[in-house]
Amino acid sequence: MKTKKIRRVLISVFAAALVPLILFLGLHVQRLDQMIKKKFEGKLWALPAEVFARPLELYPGLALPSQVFEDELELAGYRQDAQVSAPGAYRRKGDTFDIITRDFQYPTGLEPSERVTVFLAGGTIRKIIRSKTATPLSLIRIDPARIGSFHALEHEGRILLNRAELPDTLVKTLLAVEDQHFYTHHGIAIRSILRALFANIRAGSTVQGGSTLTQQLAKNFFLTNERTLIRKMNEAIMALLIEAHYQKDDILVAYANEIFLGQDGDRAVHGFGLASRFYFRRDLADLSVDQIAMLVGLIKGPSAFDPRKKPADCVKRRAVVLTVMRDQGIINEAAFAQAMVEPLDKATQIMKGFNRFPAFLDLVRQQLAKEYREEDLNGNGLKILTTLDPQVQWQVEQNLDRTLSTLEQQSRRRQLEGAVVVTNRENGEILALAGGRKPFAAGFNRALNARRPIGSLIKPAVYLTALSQGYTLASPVEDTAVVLREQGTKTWRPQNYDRREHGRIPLYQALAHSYNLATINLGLELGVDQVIATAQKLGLASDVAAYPSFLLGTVEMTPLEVSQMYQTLASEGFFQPQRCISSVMGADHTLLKRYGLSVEQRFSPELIFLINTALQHVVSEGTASSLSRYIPASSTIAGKTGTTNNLRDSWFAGFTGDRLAVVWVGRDDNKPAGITGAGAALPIWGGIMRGLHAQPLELTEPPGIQWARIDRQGPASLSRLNRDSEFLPFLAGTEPVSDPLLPAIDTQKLEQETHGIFNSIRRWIN
Amino acid sequence: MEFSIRSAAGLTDGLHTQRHLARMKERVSRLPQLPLPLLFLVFLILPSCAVQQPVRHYKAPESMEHLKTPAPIEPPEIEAPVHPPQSVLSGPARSLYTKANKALKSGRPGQADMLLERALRIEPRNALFWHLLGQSKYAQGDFVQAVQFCRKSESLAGNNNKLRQYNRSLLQRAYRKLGDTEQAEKLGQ
Repeated sequence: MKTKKIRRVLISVFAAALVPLILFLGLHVQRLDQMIKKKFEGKLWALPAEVFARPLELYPGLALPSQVFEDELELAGYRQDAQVSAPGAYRRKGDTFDIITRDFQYPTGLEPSERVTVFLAGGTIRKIIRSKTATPLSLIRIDPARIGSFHALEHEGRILLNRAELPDTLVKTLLAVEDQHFYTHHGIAIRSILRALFANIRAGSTVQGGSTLTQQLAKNFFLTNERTLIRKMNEAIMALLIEAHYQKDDILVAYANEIFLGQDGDRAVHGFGLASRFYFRRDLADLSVDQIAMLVGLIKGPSAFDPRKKPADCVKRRAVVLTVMRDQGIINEAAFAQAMVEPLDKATQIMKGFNRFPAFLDLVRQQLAKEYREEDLNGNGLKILTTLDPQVQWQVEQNLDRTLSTLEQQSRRRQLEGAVVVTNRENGEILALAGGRKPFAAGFNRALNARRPIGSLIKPAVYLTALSQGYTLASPVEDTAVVLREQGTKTWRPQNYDRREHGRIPLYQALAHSYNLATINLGLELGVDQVIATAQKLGLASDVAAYPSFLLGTVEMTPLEVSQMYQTLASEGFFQPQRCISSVMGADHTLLKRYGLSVEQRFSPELIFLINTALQHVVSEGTASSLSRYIPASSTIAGKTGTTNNLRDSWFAGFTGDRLAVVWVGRDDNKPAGITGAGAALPIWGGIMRGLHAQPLELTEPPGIQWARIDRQGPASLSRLNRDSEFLPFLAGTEPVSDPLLPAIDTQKLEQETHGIFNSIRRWIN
Repeated sequence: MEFSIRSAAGLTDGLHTQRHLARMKERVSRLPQLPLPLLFLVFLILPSCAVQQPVRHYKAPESMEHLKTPAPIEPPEIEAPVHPPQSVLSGPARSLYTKANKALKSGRPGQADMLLERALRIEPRNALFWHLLGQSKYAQGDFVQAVQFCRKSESLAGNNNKLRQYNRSLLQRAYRKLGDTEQAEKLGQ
């Protein structure tokens, strides 16, 4: 009886204790459940937006050095493969490339994979053939490189893949190595745990893990790495819960996107997608057998088997995985033998971060933010096709940093920074953008955000206004001192850069030599408001107060805004909004939005022809004549230098036959940098264009143009014998005729000229 | 009366009929795969649909105007240069031009736009491509851009008189659509 009573008491005490325990456990499980749902569903369904460069178009006659071609292929994730066995593989033999392109969904439809052979010679494509039939092809394009992705903050720096994107070999290997019974267990495998337990007891330390993939996934959901029993229990409960809620394939996908595989600076590398990019610079789908083995091997300990820090251990671990692969029949003996001897070296070229062109991506994001909500942008798997041209971008990055370093070494100038924008001359597409010297560093993007006075870059607007008001390129302008008194300010005495006056000179020379006094005198006569109106027609977006100082470029603009203004000159009078995105597609490849070409003629072709001719004189004889060190004079580049007060900002804007580029150099603290437009921005511009094999600029001459020869010193037309004469275009009917009242023909000079008459003739013929 | 309305719509709005056709075609292509003969039948029936309900596909005020004024004698609405001089069409983007032309003729101007923009990335100063882009904009009812692209083409046409003629004719039609008869007549002279 007594024992019965005791038992009853014990039971009720136990039950009294059990109720809260069960309650507590129930609540705990519910809490874990919610945590899983939040983590899991967020990760599974938020597909990041992917950003692509422009596709590389290949056609016979295209200038493309073999090395640049290979770099483009590598950037697009193509892998060298002696067998050229699958899409995304290439083989280079000297100047001949064997390639299998990948399927790509363009807005115009699917472009299917194709095997082609491209023959290059002397830096030019000679022939392209379809490998199978040897039929020549006139045009193909390589599927574009993925240059970045936009994620919600918690997914920052991840590449989320779906089930179809996980290569078969990887999945098989992963299961063989980490969890053989994945498709049959219910979250935890008791047998594996017991086996691991015995093995560990026998060894006296942890040598084997009994965790299923699901448990590992649950473990990854916790941020800490402590090993306690409670933690283990939580993991087990979570594993069971995950299995109860989700399909095996979903769990597998979550695992593949979640697993920790390395450290990139202070950023953890999670998921196979990013790891593939991080270690091999290519997409997961393009990995070879040995690379897959290495990644799977890393799961056990990303730092213990780090291919860069512990290559020997990494190779050993890879061999273990490869052996499993062979034993399980995932690979055959030949593939095993080949993979075992593959060097690790490809993995050691560090690719810093995935977003390789952060400055350009800033621009893309800024543009998209105007039209998309943050969550749509980050979570809906948008495909964003941009206009980025990697070849141009590489040139920009190299030249900017190299030239600034040289400048700093040559003098005591310090802390120079710079920004560059390069666009396509005719269609306004932004091809490249540098926001600072360090291309990989995210941070202040000077191309988009550094608003600086543009100095003499404003002058074409002054002279274009003059031409539209009836001036000719030969009209005399007065480069003489002027004193101005603006309301509420001190007296202003602008000066020329050389602090001299040049008297009466033809208009085109005032622009070519960037004379401030001539520009002010001319601009005041035209009306500052008129000049502002011209600048706005060119593309100046802001409203500006009509002070005379506007004529010397006190208006502050970003390099990008400047390039929009010069775009109108470069495309010969047609304004067009510059674009960095060509189209946005949905995750299912439907075209969501197209950023098409649109143009608006804002200036007559004749006026534009005249001003652009004058801008060519800036380069041939004016402030930018040192450009001939980089690009032959025969390229007849048009451009303009700009320098601001106390040498704070150095600008150069100009265009070749195919591209427009704007370069700014200065200091972030806006202190004098000791540089002129020709001294800093110009060499960078020249280096970039030289590297890109700039096409010569041929201006389109409209029908209503007459050419006439004038004396450099005066406006009247002259004989060809005069060496100091210039052949200039005029609106028909405005060309000068010999005026006996002006000292057009200087007889003394003419006599001197006869000595060098043959030179003159040669010059004229040239 | 009924007859005259029909003919006016039929004459001046061949373009709209084509666009209508294209839309229907796109709609059709979205449907599950139909047997070819059935598709053919659909195409046979389509034009008559267009004549019966012409108002659905363009702005009401404009269509009213067409009904009031007798249809002017105009060149066919889409007259892309089919056989341009060889020199103009010998570059690497020639195949894209041909495809764009085909897309335009089969009523897919959106597709034509994309093909032409791609072509212009490769041959940016090919006046013929710019012209066809003007045609494409015209077909989409974007007469402002049609004018602008014609002008762009004009600025690059050099001494290609045939192309200049095409440009002039398209400009004229686009100006008329924009209600700028003065400009249109100036070009006619």
